Amino acid sequence: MFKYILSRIGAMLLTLFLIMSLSFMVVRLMPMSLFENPETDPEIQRKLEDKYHLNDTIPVQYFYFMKDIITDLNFGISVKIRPGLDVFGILVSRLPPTILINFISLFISIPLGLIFGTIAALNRNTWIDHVISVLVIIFISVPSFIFGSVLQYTLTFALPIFPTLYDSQAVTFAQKMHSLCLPIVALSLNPTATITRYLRGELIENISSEYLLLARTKGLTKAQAIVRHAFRNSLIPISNTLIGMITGIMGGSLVIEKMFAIPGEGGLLVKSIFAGDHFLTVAVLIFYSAVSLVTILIVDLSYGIIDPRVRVGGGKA
Amino acid sequence: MNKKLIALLLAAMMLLTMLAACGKKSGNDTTIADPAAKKVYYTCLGADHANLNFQDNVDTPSETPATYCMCFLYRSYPDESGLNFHYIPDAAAELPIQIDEHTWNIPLRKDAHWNNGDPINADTWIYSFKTALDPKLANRMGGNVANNVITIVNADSYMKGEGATWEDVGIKKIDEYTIQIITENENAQKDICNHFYSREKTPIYQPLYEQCLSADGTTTSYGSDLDHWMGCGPYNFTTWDYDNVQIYTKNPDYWLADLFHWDEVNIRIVPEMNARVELWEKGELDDLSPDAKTVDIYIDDPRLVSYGSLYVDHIDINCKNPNNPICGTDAYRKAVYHSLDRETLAKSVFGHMEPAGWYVNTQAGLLSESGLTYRDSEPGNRIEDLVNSWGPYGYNPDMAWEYFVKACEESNIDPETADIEILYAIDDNSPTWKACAEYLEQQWQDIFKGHMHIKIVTYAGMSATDFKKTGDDKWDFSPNDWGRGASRTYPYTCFYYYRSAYSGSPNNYFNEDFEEQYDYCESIKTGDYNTLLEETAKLEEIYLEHVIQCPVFQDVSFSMFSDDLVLPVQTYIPGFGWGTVYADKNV
Repeated sequence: MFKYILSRIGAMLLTLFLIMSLSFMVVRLMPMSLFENPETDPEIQRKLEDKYHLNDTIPVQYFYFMKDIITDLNFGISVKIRPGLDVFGILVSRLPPTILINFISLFISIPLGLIFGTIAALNRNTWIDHVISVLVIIFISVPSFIFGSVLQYTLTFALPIFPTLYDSQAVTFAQKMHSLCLPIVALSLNPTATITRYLRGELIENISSEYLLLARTKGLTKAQAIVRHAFRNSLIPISNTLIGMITGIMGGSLVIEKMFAIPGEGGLLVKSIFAGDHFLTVAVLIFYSAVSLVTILIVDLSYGIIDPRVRVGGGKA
Repeated sequence: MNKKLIALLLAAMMLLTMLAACGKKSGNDTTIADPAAKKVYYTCLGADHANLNFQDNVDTPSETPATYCMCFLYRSYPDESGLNFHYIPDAAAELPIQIDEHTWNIPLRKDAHWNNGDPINADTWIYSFKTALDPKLANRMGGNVANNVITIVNADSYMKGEGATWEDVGIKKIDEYTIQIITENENAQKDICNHFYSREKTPIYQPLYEQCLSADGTTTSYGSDLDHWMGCGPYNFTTWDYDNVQIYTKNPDYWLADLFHWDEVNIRIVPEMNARVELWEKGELDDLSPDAKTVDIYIDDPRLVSYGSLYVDHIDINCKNPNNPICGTDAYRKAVYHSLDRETLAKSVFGHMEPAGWYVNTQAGLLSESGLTYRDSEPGNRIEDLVNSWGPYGYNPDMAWEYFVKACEESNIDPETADIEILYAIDDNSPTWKACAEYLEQQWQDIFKGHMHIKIVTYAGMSATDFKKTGDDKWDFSPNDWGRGASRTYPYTCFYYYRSAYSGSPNNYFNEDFEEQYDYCESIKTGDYNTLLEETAKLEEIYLEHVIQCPVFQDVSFSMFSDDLVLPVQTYIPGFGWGTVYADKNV
């Protein structure tokens, strides 16, 4: 297992390195100058570009980029969004709201998805199942920002229960969460529906399987058989979808953050791309990639816990 | 056991989240609910400013903290009539004193100080200007210190490292409380005041600035956050939660504190217009500037006020596209000019804008000595009459077709078989310009009988200037809206960007007659204003004769203010605005 973990971490680091290189190349090869401004004198622009090695060849720029990261964990300096600030520091300063909305959305989605998926499977082809299935289709097919708009209009304006925007000045955690409630709900709907849909399908298949019949004949009650065997087996394919869900939520939060004026990582990526703040864009891309890779690693490692039949570690048969 | 523990933890987390969601109103709402306690101005910005280093920051939103939290040498202040404004000394002790044609002395207040109590004196200003122009720092706003309303002797040369030393620059310390400015041209007193009333000419706090300077002296983190910045204005910048909220509280120690009435200024950063409208409707904002799409909701609201801005939105025309055989001819540009139904475009496509078949904006000349705008003057009216003689705002389909035929003939193309594709390059975030392209494509089917049609190309994530650098074959049309503040005083400077002398010109069509006339206007700018207006009209005539670029509409800005707000002006004053910084509130 230890060897397996090491190999997975190694693969993850290699992937991250490739993503970093690719991100750097793609962003740096864009024609936009970091210091493009019609009012800036070309001579001053040249000096600024010299200052950041931007007049060097791409391989030389890439060398400085990798050297700074490896030796100092230095991703460069923001030149447009927060000029003069270390981009790593900017990333860190904007993490809390992003983590809050993304992870709370996920933590809400998983249990809710499991509950609704189980209810739908156990009540297969009844009106309960139909209602859940219709909602699932709606929540999967409509993007989160549409729900965000609807929620913002209905619950902050028509029926003013929640504040329109995120309140970073809230004194207590409860107040802060109050202003984050709608973005969290908007982001939770899609993953909840995804889990519900997967679990329903898996559970229905497992409930009608022969091994569950065997479990019942061994004397287990229906509930025991479902919880101990069918439910557990149904979780294995769902764990795979978690990766997609995490990246999906983070993708959705790019727009949701802007909509609710949440100063998080999503807004930063969009802003940095449009502003042409290349150092920052690359750093945010690396951040998103790293989160996805870590999620993949966690899911891979958790296979063994969810399903003891899965033996990892590369042992020969 | 472990499973139960995990389940319990999960349930507890869900419960906590739900309880949190059902909590009391947020802190922001609480402050709004209690306005009687203090006078708070609630407003919003579409974007936050990048930092508080005003010498380098090119973002427009940074005007706000500079206006509220910094001192200037001079400030603009409304007249008692509320219809005009004048300059008052801020950190200066009195208005600039003219020594000779090019030399001005600026006496400084002895009680001006930073928020921490340290004095602001001649050394502070000299250090600030020297830093702004430092060739090693290459500050992006440094050029505006050297040359904007006035041109300071050798400042540009020093900044660009072209030989001048700091001693050659026309900024001198006379004594502890007097600085001297030497200009290249003769200027009026108000030009000196105007020049120094902008954010890049606010002072910087030397001890902190040097602490923030990199070892090689090329970069600085000064102003990156409130810990690395020092204020000295009517308000203290107390809270800056980047991309979310800015809060300024009144600085009672400020020397002109009596002129400012807010106890607190609360600025939310709200990128989405829908959210801004919701806040406005809920009474959580004291003002709102609806955009072209939103203004329809409020068009009958008596609180809605509008004014013509500094911009005439237009289309830059590429004259060098190798794939467009007629692009190099004047006739082609004229065909395009006459093919635009500006009335329909301005009202229906862009929403409540003013059609314009000319280029000098409605504010041009407003800050001149007489206050007469070019558009209201006889020469300006003559140009409008000329344009309208061709058709409403220059729109004339028959002339468009005639010029198209001429352009084809000049390019040895049979107009009856021509099939010319116009690449209309726009930003993805410009739905109105896209709608304009779609409207033109439909209209052109009739006007050019299907021989010239539009293809939209987008340049998402890139500026128009950068996109144009990718090649002349990538575009034919490019919508634009550059305005020049100096045109409020000297109307001809509207055309500043469209000369070959301007390195960042968005155009690639240059005309000798046009440039000669511009230079002539420049040479007589401080002379008789009526003569300048006449010469500006000649310049605009040449512009129209060659369609240097193609004007579409005069941009109109809209604003709404809450009933409680007491503005210091009766109307929008160009170059001054609504004066919300001096406003008051009925509580």
